[in-house]
Amino acid sequence: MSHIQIDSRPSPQTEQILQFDIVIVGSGAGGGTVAKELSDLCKRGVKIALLELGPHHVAAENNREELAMAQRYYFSGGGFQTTTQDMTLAFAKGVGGSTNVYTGVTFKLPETAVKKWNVPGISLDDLDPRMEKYLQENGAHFEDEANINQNNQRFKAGCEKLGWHVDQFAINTRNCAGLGTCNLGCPRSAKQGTAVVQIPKAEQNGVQVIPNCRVERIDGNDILATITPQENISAISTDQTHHSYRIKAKKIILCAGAVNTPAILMRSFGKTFNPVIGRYLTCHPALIMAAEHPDKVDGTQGPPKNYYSEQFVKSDRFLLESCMYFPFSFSRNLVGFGTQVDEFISRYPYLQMTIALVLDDAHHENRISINKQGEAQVHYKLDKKIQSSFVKAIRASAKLMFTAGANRLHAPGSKQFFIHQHEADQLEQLITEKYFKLGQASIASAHLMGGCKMGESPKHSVTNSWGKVHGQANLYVADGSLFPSCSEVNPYLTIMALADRVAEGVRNDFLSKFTDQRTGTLL
Amino acid sequence: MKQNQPAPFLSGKMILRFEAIQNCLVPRSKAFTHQERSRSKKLINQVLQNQDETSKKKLSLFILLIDIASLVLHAKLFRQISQTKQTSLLAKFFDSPVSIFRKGFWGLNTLARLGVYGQKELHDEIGYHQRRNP
Repeated sequence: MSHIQIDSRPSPQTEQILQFDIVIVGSGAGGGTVAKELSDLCKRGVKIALLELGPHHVAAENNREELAMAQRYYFSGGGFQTTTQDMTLAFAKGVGGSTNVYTGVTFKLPETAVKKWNVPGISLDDLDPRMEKYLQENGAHFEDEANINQNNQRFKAGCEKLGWHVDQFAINTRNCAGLGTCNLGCPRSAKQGTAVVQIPKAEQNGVQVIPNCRVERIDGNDILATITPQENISAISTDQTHHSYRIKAKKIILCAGAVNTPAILMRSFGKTFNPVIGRYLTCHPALIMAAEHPDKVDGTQGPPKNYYSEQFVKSDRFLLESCMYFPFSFSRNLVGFGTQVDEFISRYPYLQMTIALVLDDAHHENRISINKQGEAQVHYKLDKKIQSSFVKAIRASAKLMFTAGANRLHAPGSKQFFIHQHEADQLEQLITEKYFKLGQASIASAHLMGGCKMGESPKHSVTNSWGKVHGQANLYVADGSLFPSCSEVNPYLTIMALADRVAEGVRNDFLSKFTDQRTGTLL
Repeated sequence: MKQNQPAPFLSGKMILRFEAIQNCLVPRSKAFTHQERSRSKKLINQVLQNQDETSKKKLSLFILLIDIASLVLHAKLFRQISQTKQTSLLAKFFDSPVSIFRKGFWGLNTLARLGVYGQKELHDEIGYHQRRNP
């Protein structure tokens, strides 16, 4: 492994200079992929750095404690709120980014989403071989049915009894022990995120990974950043010592995610350098539901997510998935307060859980901005269409879980805390838009997309279809912020496929510009 | 330097105010042992330590607002009124037609739950068991 030596002697005011050929900012599904794809250039003498805001997470230090790991892996401990404070966003930091905390659910981008994107050059013909490549590379497979727990089995059984579509997810794990705590990182590195697969390969080839590096802004071809030396990390709450760096690069690729990539661009070039910067954010707003069964469900044993249903994707724009969440995360999804909440949570081993993801439209007003301090803010309106989809999704989840054998369930959008089995035929009356109130229902998102949408015209997009920022010769984007609208499925594989494409473009640009055409050697 | 660090959110009178609300929102907290109570306070303070000052001010204001509402309606502080009245008062915020009150309530309710269900020592009680890492 090659690690850069950070000099801890200079004072925080001193600007140090680092020189690279290619600098990648962010190490999640996008950045990790780009780093690996370009890393063979290191053998030809190209210097590549991968900057990451968070630390290197050590698998052996993962104790699977809900709050401690949420604080360690996620921005704002997993509780980043939109400006309207009616939705919580979960996105991660640290080498590997959000691929450290996903459940490994692997979906190919559906054709309907690609058509909606309508970006010349972006087609399934182009993306499919790339997605296949990462399916293989990440070991995506269908879990053996013997390892699938009751929580997931009941989701499948419910769908089948109702005659609904149901299918199994591919999951990208290797040597998985079914610990069930994927959203808190994996202590076995079984989940095949970029920290496990792509970044080690990139490092092997010579890419330098620089963790604890906050990119302030881009200045010409330089990146202005602060780096907290490793020795201060354990005491980071009391010792905020950091050093300023000017990182010189011939090519810069931003992969800091749908929240932070637009924020870096706005800090660098102003809030209005492009008419759609930060705009058209989509996020698959999601809601968790739970139902109590008479016998144990034990959803904590084994992989947390195995099945999904597309039954309502066309008609009502939501996707249903099986899921399992930890005590505190689960508790905050219960609408109400008092003894009923305590009582329901005390039935934890008997609870079946589902999650509904709304496939939201891309709207100009849903956006990232920056505040006076330059920090990212997320503006997102949960409009009537989304609320209506949620109400239908809650009814559908309730129907599914009753059909799977649940005694009673808790449904946001109902005036009563519990709905009982004998009321199962009254779901339309019991769960209504009247009782679905923003600020009561606990809505969350972990699929942040858009903000630097691809396209042809600089008036309507931030980058071209190769991720190159309009009007910038050496600046690229390669992460979920490229999506012109939502992916309609869990997005990591699509991000990797797009990052693979961006890396191809960067390589071609770099080699054509910096290779001596007569000798073939790098300049 | 230690003396310059701001006081934790839950300190002084704020502890009494918050715990009265927590007891109503998450009744399990009423049965806290001394240790569980300390852990709840510590967890909440740790999480709030990383929040910006504006969020903490909003939270303080919301807790104050609950006391003001209690004084207006019952001429007593929230912690001094009966449980039935406490429940009824909090329900007004929970189900308020004004969304900002609902959101404030959600934040407070979430913190109250964090202090209880964020305690790994209580997970056995609710039957949450993780599979052992072999």
